Amino acid sequence: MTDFISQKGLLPAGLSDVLYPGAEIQAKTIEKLLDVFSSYGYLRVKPPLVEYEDNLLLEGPGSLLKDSTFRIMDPLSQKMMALRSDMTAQISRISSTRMSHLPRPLRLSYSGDVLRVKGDSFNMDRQKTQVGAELIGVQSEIIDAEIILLCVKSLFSIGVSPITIDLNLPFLREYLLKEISISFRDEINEAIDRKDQNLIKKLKFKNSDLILDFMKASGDYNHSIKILSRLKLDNFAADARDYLLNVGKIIKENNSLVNISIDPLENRGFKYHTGLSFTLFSQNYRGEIAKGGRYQTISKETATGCTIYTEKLYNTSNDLIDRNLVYVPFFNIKIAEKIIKKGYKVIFGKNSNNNMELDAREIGCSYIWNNEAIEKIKN
Amino acid sequence: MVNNSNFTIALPKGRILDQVLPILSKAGIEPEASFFDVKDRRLRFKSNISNIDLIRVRSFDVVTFLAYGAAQMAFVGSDVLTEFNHSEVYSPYDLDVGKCRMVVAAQKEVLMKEDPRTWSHVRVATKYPNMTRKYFESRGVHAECIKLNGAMELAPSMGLCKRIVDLVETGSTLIANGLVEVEEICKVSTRLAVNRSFLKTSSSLIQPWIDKVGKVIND
Repeated sequence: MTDFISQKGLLPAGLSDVLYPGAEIQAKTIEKLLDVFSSYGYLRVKPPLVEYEDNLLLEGPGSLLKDSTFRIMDPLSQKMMALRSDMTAQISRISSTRMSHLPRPLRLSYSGDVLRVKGDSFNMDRQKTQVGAELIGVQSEIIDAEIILLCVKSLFSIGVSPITIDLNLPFLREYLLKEISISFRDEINEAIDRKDQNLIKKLKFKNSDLILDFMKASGDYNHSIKILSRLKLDNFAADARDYLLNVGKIIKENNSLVNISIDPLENRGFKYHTGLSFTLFSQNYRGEIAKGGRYQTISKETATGCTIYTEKLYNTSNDLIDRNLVYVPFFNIKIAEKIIKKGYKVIFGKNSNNNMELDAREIGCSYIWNNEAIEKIKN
Repeated sequence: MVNNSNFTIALPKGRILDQVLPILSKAGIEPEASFFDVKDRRLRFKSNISNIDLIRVRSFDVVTFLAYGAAQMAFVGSDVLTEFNHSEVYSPYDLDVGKCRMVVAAQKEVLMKEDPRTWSHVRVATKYPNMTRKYFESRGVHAECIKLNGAMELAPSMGLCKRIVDLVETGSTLIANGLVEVEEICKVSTRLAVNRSFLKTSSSLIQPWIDKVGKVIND
């Protein structure tokens, strides 16, 4: 039985061999995304695949990743190690240790594979490639807008369009419900998650009117800012609201192509976020395509960042690779160089005069080197 | 994947459909005539609104169609919504129709002899393994679920399981099969649900229709 399975190459659930052209598209997509951050001065870092569980999962953003992380034992130190399931925790560690002496704000970018215990609801993949950027050490509306705008810019650069940014204040819900008993809070949270305004009206609790106002304010930018700016709020909530409105305004001023929607009470997927957060959607892709927001690093420094879910973006970016493949029947590096300089790719044939065209077609070449010239292969 | 100006509403086949159609109609959406033709084998239909299509699917599949973006709006039982608990779905309105209850039931004579406080494990026949597991976990009991799609009420008497978790309307099926209700897990009714991503990217298209359904319910 085991022999049979290994012959067929069965892989564990959620893991797969990425073949051509998938693997090449992935690599190019990731480089293009990172190029945008790099041209805005983000320093690229590369943390290790595995590290001590205590470091990775004990504090900061890592503390909420316990359930989704694989562990292995380090035979050398006899300590438990964790295989990263999200790189944000590692960037947070780097910024508060080895890069703690550098001037703030610190701009970092990264990409790498992470391993999850389980896939998510759309994607059973357990190994994912994460691409992201973090802006550490300063909190201001401009800084939050920078991360969001660059995230959008990088997605535009690989042809993802149109994009809608959903701006959220995931911490606001907890603040407004802080005096309510935990069991009742569950019921209220469920109603907010469902966007059930009728149920909130029925439940009646402290701040229920305010919760209802924030729910009504959810929607596209123009609808939302009208309602939000009219709300009478205490200092804390008013500051949060004004912060969000300012970030929205800066985004609008700097990118007229992107759509903005606002959903103040949304907290789906924001587990460790403590400030303004955001989720990116596009009509042509399923679910969230990127998300991010403000959080605290392990040294309690303020930071904001974004993560792009690259696994959702590959299928449509096929035009990133062009296959102008030229079949060169006989091995000859000099000729190959000449052809490559003209912008083609080259593949050597079988060093024989038999069935050259058939052979070329079989391996997907559109051109053949014949009589000292590049000839298009007839179909 | 999604055409920018069209959207699809998923409707559940069976019991709930008859109660949902009047609400849809009051909101201004009427299915084409062939929707009501029992002989018509199609699953996708037009409506009187040119950019709204309707699909008719099994009630248990509605959330799947909705979450994956094959439909952007749906009418679906809260039992199915809770069982799938999909983060990509909002369900803003309770339509107050298709009402029933989800309950735990057991054989009457067995119930007298046992003491569930001593259990660490129980076998349960149900269509709702996620909700069942969660419910029993909250009492410290691991539920091993046997997924059945019908005739649940037979399972205890045949020795398949000690408990069933199922929907009851009047309770007459339970009684007819020698079962009694042990506890209610939750109340169930039909809700209006929408795809999260679609609401975010095309709110000007779908929000007016959500509001129309809401108005029918609140009036």
